[in-house]
Amino acid sequence: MTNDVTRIVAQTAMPRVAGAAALVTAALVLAISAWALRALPLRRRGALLALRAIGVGAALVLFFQPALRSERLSTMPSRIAVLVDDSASMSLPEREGEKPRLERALQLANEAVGKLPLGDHVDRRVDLFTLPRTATRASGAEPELPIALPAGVPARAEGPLTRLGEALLGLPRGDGRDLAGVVLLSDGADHGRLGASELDDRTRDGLRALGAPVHTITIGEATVRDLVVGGVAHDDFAFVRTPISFEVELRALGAARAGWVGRSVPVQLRRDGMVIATQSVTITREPTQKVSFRHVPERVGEFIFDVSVLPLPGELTIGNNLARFSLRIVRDRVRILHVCGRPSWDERFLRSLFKRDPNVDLVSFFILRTPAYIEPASPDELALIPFPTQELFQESLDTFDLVVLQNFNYKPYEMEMYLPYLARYVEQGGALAMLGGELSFDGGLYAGTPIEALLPVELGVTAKVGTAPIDARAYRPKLTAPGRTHPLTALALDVDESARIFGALPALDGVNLVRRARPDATVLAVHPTLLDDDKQPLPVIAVRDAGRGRVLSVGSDSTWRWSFEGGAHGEGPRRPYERFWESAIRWLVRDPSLSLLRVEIDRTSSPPLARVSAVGPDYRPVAGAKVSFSLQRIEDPDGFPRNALHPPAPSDGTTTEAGKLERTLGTLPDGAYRLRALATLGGRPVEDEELFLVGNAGDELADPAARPALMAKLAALTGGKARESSDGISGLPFNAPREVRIAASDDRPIWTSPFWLLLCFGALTAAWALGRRWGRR
Amino acid sequence: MRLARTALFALALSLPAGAIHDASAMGEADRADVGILGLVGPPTTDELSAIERLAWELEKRTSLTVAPQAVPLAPGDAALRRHPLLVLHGAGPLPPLPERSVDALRAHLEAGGLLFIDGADNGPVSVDEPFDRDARALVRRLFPRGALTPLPAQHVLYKTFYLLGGPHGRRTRSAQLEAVILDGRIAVLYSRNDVLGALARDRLGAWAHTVEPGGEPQREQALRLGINVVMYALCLDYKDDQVHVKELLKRGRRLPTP
Repeated sequence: MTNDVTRIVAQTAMPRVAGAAALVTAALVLAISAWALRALPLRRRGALLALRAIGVGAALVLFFQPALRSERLSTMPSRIAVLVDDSASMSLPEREGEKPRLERALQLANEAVGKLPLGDHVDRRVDLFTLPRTATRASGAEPELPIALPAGVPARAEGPLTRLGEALLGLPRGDGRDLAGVVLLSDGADHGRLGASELDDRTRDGLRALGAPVHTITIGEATVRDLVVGGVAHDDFAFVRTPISFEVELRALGAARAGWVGRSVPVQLRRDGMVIATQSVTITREPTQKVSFRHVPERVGEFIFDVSVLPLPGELTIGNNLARFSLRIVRDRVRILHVCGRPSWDERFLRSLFKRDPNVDLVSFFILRTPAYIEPASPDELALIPFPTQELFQESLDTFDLVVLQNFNYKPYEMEMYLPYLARYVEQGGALAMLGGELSFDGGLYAGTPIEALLPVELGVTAKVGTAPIDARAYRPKLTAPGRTHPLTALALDVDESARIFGALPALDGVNLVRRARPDATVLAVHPTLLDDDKQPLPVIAVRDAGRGRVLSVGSDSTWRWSFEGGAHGEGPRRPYERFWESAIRWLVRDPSLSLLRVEIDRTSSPPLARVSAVGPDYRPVAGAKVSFSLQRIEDPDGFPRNALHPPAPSDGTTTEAGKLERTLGTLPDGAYRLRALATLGGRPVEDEELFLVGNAGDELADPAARPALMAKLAALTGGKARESSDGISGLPFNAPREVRIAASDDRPIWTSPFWLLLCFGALTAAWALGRRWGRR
Repeated sequence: MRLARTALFALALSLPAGAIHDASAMGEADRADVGILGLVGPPTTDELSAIERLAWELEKRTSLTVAPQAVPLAPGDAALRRHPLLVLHGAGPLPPLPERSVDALRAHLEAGGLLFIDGADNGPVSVDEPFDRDARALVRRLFPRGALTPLPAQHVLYKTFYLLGGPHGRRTRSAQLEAVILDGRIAVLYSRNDVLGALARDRLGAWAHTVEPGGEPQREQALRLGINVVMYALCLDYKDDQVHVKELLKRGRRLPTP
C-alpha cells in the first residue's frame, strides 16, 4: 500500500548537535529576557517578549533552512505469528467433561485469525504454527521451523516435547513480512531451555532479537490432581541372569485436595505385557515417592518394560500413569555349569575348550571319587570339596546360560528333588546339554524324570543288571538331512564340504541306546547301523526346543577324539571339534547370529520400517523366501483404555536376491508392539520377532500442570502481555507497520524568502524601541 | 558358599541301596589309559606292573574308569593319537629319535597330550646323568622355544586329587618337578624320582624295589603323585577353579609329608 505525504525537512548541513545548541540558545535568550523584564507591567512585558520571540524564531528559520518535501511512502506487509503448543500435555482437559487444552487454544487461534488483522493494517496476516517436530537438534544447526497450520484445521495433541524457546527462535523469517508480534498459546509446561532453569543469555538475546512482543496466553491450570509415574531410573542395558533394579518416581499431585492421602495404590512392573512385580504404595502428602523394583532377566534381547499405577477417579489424565521403556539385555559371558560324573578324556577336552573361550564363564563340578572305597587318607589330605547341590541346582541355577550334564548320574547325590528345578530352568529359557557315557541317559537313571521330558530322545531302554544300555562298538555317526544344514553340525559353509568333513571325523567309541527321538526333536546325526524302537536309525546327536529353552543330547562320550585324533588334519583355522562345540553353545544359548530369519525395526524412519533378512541353513541369503508378518499391540495394564490389539500388519512379501525385505509399519498409536516375521527356510518354519515402542508422552505428561509464571516471564522479556485464556486476545498491541519511501519530489526551500530576514530585524528593532520608550535602557 | 544341603563325596558313607549304577565306561577303548612310550624297546616288567598297580589304585580310590594295563607305544606309532597320556620311564641313555617321530610326538602334545618323563637313575643327582641329559635334549627338540622349568609348589598338579607336599618316588633325588607349559597346561612333566619304580611289583606281587629314604609312607606319596598326574591329565586345572580355592586353602597348612 502506498501513501503520498509532504513534510518539512532542514536543508542545513550542520550536525544535529549544532541544531540542538541553537534551540537551547534560543530558549535561554527568551528565558533571560523574561527574567530581565520582570519589573514591567504584564501587558508591556508580554508585548516585548512576543516581539523578541518572533525575532528569535525568524532567526532559527534562517539557521535551520527549512524546506518542503513531497514523498510517496509504502507500508511494509507484516504478520502476527500465533504459535499453538500441540504437545501431549495440551491434550488434557482440566476437568472431566471440559475441552482439552488444545481445543481451547485452537479456538483462540482461530479467533486470532479473524480479529487480529483488523484495523488500518490491511496488509497484515496472521499465521498459525505448531511446535517443531524435531524434539532435539544438533548443536549449532539451525532450528527446525515450526510447522505452519492452515487456519481452521484442527490439530491433534501429538506434537513433540514442548520446547517453547526453541520454537519461538525458529519462527520462519525472510518471507517478506515483518514480524509484528507473536501470540503464544500454551500451558507453559516447557521441556526445553525455558523450563530447565533461568533463561540463558542466548535465549534472552534470541527472543529480544525477534524485535516484536511475544504475548502469552496460558491454557490450563497451575494446580492439578494427578498420579504420575515419573522417570524410571534404570541402566542403559543389563546383563542376563544378573539382578537389575528400577527406581520409579511416583508423584501424587494435589493428593491432599483430592483426598488421596493414606490411600494405597498398586504399582506394577511388566515385561512385554507380563506382570513381573507388583507393589502397594500408600500415598502420602509428599509430592514424590520412590518405588524400587528388582528383576533378574533370564533371556537376552530387547524387551519392553512398563511401570503403571492404577488410575484414581478425578485424575487430570491417566496418560501419565503408565511409563514404558525398552531395555536391552545382553550377555556378559556365556555362563556354563559343567557337571561331570567322572573325569574322562571327553570331559578333559570339553573343559579345555570351555576354558580357552574368553566368552565362557565356567563353573565345573566333577565327581572325583566314588564312595565305594574307604579312603585311608584323612579328608585334609584330599583335595575334595562338597558338592553344593542345593546352591547349584536351586539357588544359583538361573545364573547359568547352559548346564552340561556329562556322563552324570544324579542318583547318588540325592538330587531327585532338584530335577524339577532343572526342568523349570530349561522351560523358562535355560539350556541343557546331556552328553553320553555309561552314567548318562538310561545309565544315569533319567527315565521317567522331569529331565527325560526335556530330552530330544525317549529313554526307557532296559539292559542287563549292572550294565548300562550302551553299545560299545566303534562307529562313525551319519548326518541326517537336517544335520547337513543345521548350524550345530555345519562344519563348513558349503553343505557338501561340511558333510565331507563330518564323514571324515574319527570314529566314536560307543553310543547310548535310546528308544527313539521325540517327534518334535531334530535329529542331526544317527548311528550307521543300530536302529531304535521304531526301526529308525538310532539318534546320536539331537536337539529340541523345550519350552523357551533348548536341549542337546549327544549319545557318546568320545567326541574328544574329533579333537585329539582329528587335530592332526584339522580343517582351516577352526577344527571340527571346536566348531561343533562352539556352535552348540551358541545354538543352545540362542545366539541371535544363528537365527535364520531376523527382523529389525528401524526407529529412525517415520513411520517405523521393518527390515527382514533371511538366510538358509547354510547361512547364505535366501532369495524369494515368502515372509509374512503379524503385528500385535502389547496390551496395556488393567485399568487403562483398551486399544486394538491387532493393528494392520505389514503386507507379505518375498526376499530380494540379498535375502532382504523391507516393509513400513504405517502410523501406529502410542504403545508397545510386537512384530513377528514368519518364513519357511531350509524346509522348516522359522520366525523372529522384535518389540518396539511408538511414541512416549511420558516426559511431556510427567508434570502436566500449567506454568503461568514461565509464560509471564517470557512475555515480560519481549515487551508482550501475559494473559489467561479467559482474557481472550482482543486488544493485544503489536508493532506498527514499517513504512518505506519509494518516491520523493525536489525540496522547496522556505527560508530563502526575505520575509524571514525582515521579520527577524523588524521584530527585534520594535522590541528595542518599545523597551526604551517604557523606561528600559 | 553356603552349603545348606550338600552331598559330600569325600565323606558320604551311606547311599541308597542300588543307587550307584555299576557300569564301566563305554567299552574298553573308552577307558582312560596310560601309554608307555618305549624308546629302547618294549616296556619292562617294572613299568607294566607299576602302571597296572596305578590303574588298580585309580579304580579303587577315584571315580575313574582306567584301562588295567599300560599301552606300549612307539614315538612314531599311528596309535599315539588315541592315548593322550604317555609315560617315558627309564634310566641310562636314550637313543636319538628320528625327526618324524619327534614331529609326531610334538603334534601329540600340541593337540592336548601329556608326556610324563620319569627318570629312574640311581645315585645322587649330577649334571651329566645320561637319562637326564637325553631327556632334556628330547624336550629341546620337541619344543625349541620352550624349556623345562621348575613346577612351583603351588601348582595345581599337587592338589588335583591329593594334597601333596612335594614330588616323591622310589627315591627323592629332586625336590621339584619340571614342566613345559603349553597354552597354560603342562605338556611335558619331568620327574627324576622314579615314581613308577615305587609302584612296580615283582612276579609274586611284592614291591619290586625298596623306597628310600621314606619307606612305605614315601611309597604312598609316590602313588598319590601318580594318581595326581593322571587326574591332572584328565581334569587339567579344575582344582584351581575359584570354587575350590577357598576350601583347599584351609587345608594347605597341614600338608602331609612322608
